[in-house]
Amino acid sequence: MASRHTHSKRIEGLDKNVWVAFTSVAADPTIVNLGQGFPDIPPPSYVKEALVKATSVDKLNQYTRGFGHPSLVKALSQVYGKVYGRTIDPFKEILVTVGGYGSLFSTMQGLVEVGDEVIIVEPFFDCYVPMVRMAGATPVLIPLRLKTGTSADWYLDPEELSSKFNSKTKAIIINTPNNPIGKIFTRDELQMIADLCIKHDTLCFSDEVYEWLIYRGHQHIKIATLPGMWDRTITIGSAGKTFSVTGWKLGWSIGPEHLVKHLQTVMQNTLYTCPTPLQEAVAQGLMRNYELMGQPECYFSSLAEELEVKRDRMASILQEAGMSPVIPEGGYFMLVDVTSLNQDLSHMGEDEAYDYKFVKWMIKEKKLAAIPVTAFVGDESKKEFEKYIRLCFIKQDSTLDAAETRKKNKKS
Amino acid sequence: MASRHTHSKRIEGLDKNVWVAFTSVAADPTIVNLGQGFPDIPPPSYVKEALVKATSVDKLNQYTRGFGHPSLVKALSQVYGKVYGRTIDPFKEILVTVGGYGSLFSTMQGLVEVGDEVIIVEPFFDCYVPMVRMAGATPVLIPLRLKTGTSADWYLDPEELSSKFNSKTKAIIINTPNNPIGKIFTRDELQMIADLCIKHDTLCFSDEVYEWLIYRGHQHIKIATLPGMWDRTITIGSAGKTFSVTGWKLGWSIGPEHLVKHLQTVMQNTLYTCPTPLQEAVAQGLMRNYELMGQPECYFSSLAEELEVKRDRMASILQEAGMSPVIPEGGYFMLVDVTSLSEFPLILTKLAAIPVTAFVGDESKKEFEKYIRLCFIKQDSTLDAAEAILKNWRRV
Repeated sequence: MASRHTHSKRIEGLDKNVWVAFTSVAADPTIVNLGQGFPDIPPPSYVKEALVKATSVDKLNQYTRGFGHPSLVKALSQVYGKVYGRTIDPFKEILVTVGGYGSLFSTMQGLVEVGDEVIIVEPFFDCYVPMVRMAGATPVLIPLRLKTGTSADWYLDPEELSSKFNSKTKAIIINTPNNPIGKIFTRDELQMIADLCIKHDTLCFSDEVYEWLIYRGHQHIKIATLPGMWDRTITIGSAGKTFSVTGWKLGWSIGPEHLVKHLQTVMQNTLYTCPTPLQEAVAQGLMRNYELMGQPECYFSSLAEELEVKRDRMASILQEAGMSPVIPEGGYFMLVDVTSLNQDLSHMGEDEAYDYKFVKWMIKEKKLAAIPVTAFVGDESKKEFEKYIRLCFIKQDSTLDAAETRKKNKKS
Repeated sequence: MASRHTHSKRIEGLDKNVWVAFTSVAADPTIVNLGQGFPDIPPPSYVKEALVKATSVDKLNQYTRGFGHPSLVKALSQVYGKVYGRTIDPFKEILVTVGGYGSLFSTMQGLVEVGDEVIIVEPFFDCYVPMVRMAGATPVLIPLRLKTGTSADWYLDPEELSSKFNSKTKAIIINTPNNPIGKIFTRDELQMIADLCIKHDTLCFSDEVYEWLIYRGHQHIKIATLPGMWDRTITIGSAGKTFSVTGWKLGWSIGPEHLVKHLQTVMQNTLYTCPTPLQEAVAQGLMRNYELMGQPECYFSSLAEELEVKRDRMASILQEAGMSPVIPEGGYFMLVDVTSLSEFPLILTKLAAIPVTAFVGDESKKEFEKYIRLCFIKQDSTLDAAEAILKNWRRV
């Protein structure tokens, strides 16, 4: 028995994972699953049709260009060239990856050195910390702090943020719109972050996978478009979130050649290339919508309109059930403060944060699944966040109806 | 300008790559591309149909289980349970990855420590060395040596191999059938490797992506089935090679739970999951052929039969052109000794191949620089075009 063979040090302590813990529970079909973030609404039919068409072409079932299928990187160059207001070189300034995850990983592995520090804003998408650790670097956390009850009222304290930067800081990771809160960083907030990046000559990794899901009255701003930021920013996007096909696992990194080339080196030595037919289909979807940009039929904006209705419905279901939702400005998650329910969970006994216990109780007793928000923060911030659970509302009406029923039962 | 920001040390020196150099040249449609290893024959229609069907089911376009889509890992468990002659737990002993590449990477990152040594047999699929280096470990190379002209005549010198093992050796990587030579390791050769792994308590990473492409008179043996080896071996397979869909980039690692769980940890912290509709389609293809295993219609064997004809045709085309092919026992590549030609300006003659020194370390370059690698999983019209070019070549 090969008993001396254990895991490598780089993955020490990285075996636990909130998704593995909760999604197997939620696989039970009698449970209304508002936990893991994926749509149960259908993807646009033309995207599925494009995949059907792609797989019928023999060569589109074989290897394509490693850094991104030509028609896809060209489509990305078109769409984002328009969004950024600059020419983006499809071959040198773009890398196609296995989802937003793959972009985050290529960025970390290509640019973050052992011993570096990386600033992460809490609450954070849970993979940021393990990826920083796997690169042998130290996560430096800073929490969003709350003024009042909408996602706009969460803010970064300027002095606190400034204090996190030092000569070891390689990068700051920002996520806008933010998962799980749904906050969209304002121009002023991004400028504050940009000023610090420039002052300390730090990089910025901007996770913008929810960039199109922006609700009325709000605007998504790319930090890479601020003066001095293009040359030091990697911006991450996702086909899964853009086209409601999370299971396709395609994403992209966009940035200056002198940074993107290192992500490309990682790609060429780890996976080599992404699946061809999926890339071709996403390229078709992007070009179709590129032609429609600015028009109501464009999926980049029509999906947000569809989701705003669901957002508002979910918020009122929760309010009627006596809970306090945090209304998101973007994305498809909603935080809910469950304190007002005064649910006694002392019988659950385990040494776990309140939100973990609450979600487990809710799954078991109310057949409704959510995600505990302390999964998205470091130990020091758990006390501030353990009263929140995260719900996903990119769900069809029948799912929201079922959730409403569960919530009504909860009140009684 | 962020001028102090350069690449991380872990990717130092890994930016050069033979594929990027050659495949952009071969993208020229007037060039007959026998270089990069991908089929220009169509995949089986039922596999494409299964993808069409999968994408029509809404939930199959959304996230699936991170370590592998349930219907796929169950199908793999069935197929390989039969091949290995043992029960394979679909959830604990299998990880689905982004191609064979992804399995190699998860294995290295999950198990290889900074400062370890990893033995690699030359010629090797070119990503092995960079992946070992990226894990902060040292590649220790050992060349296959040649007796005479078929792939069976390449062998590992037992004393030389033994001398490569020491207390720092984490693993040996073997590839059978081998790319680029096409050698299939015999039971005796695998036993020799196994004996050393057991003696030194070393792991074995066995890249068997070409496992089904076995030509008549030969047999593929899994080192993991040798006594004492299951517990220390990760075996890698590929949907791309199995079903002629290299662009689908799905592969798998099979092994004992106490090793596979570390590969799963890497997966959960790097990519999280593989594409769902592709996994569902591959699962359908595997189950269909599972039912046909042992029968002539089974794609696992029918593809090999189809390729053997192409292998033999390619060999005679090359011999007629005055070159010396190394006849492979498996896989879909053929080495060709081009010494008998006075010169071989490959690109200029509109025929693309891959130089074999891309697959060896510096010290072995002299032994291998007379070889080029050709891929023969190509339709007849491609082989016709290659024949025409090679006939003209002799006359120049």
